[in-house]
Amino acid sequence: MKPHNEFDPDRFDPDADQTDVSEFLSVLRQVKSPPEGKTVYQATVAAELIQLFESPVPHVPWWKRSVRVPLPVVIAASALMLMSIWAAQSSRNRDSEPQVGLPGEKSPGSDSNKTHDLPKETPANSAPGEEFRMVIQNSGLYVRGIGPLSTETRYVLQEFDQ
Amino acid sequence: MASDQSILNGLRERNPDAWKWLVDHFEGSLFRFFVCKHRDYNLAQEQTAETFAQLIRSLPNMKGSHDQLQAFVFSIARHVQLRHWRRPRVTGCDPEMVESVADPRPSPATQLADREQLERVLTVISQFESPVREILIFRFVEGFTLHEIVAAADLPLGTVKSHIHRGIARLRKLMADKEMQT
Repeated sequence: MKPHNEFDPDRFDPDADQTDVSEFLSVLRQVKSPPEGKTVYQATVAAELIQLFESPVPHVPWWKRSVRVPLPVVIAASALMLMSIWAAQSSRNRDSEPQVGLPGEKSPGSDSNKTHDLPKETPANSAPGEEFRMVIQNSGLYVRGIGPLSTETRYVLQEFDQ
Repeated sequence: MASDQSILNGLRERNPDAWKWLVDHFEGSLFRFFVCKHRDYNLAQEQTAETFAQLIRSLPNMKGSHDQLQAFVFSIARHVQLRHWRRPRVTGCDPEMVESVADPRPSPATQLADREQLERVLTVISQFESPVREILIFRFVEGFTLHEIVAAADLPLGTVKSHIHRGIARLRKLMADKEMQT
């Protein structure tokens, strides 16, 4: 609820009696520009028009236009851009660091519940009586919910005892 | 000039006849506007000329019809006035001193029958801060509608109404004080 003396624009009456104020200020209407004033204004206007007609503002295509930017804004924008470049570069470096450890080991950052190696030996091209056989070893890093992150296939010749 | 719209078109096309009409139509009210602000006739004349120069450059970009011309002219005048106060002044000036010393020619005010009354009103109105002073002049001297004041002062309607309401209350108090003194 508004106090009594607070102004409410919705209840403002522009046609309310303001005769006293109008009469008081009406003397200002008698202030006239000096006679030479009009000549000065006409001369100013004529000079401006001549200047504009003689050297009109050339039409500049949008790709050649320039805008004024305050220096603090330029400095802030440059700092922000450098920081974002630095952040992007550092995160890229972190991603490209080599994983330390063997394929069978858990990686330092991996969750043991979510990752597991899948060593697998598959005898192939082996024939009876041969001393060696080729073994294909598949290993990979699998994250549940995402899928395989990396796979590695090795072809190994193993000595075969008969 | 044939019609309001043809005047506006002439101004936009920078037709000299249209601009002559604009000077004849607005020079008095613009001069008055600046006198109420500065109480300095030379400065008022200088800023009136500067307003016309600014209008030549900005009026071709004006949006709206002829009805908005008056508000547009005074919005430019307000910007000219504001820019003046941002500029460093060469000397501090007392309006009374400037009037009596800077220009030896008789000022327009001396031609008035009741010079004292004019000085009294100028003293009272100069006690108001911007934008209340401009709004009171627009309303009670130039006879603007509320919507013209909104456009010229670049303020919301509610704010304009509030300034008028409080301005009138304060003006009545100052008028009563002046009467008590006399």
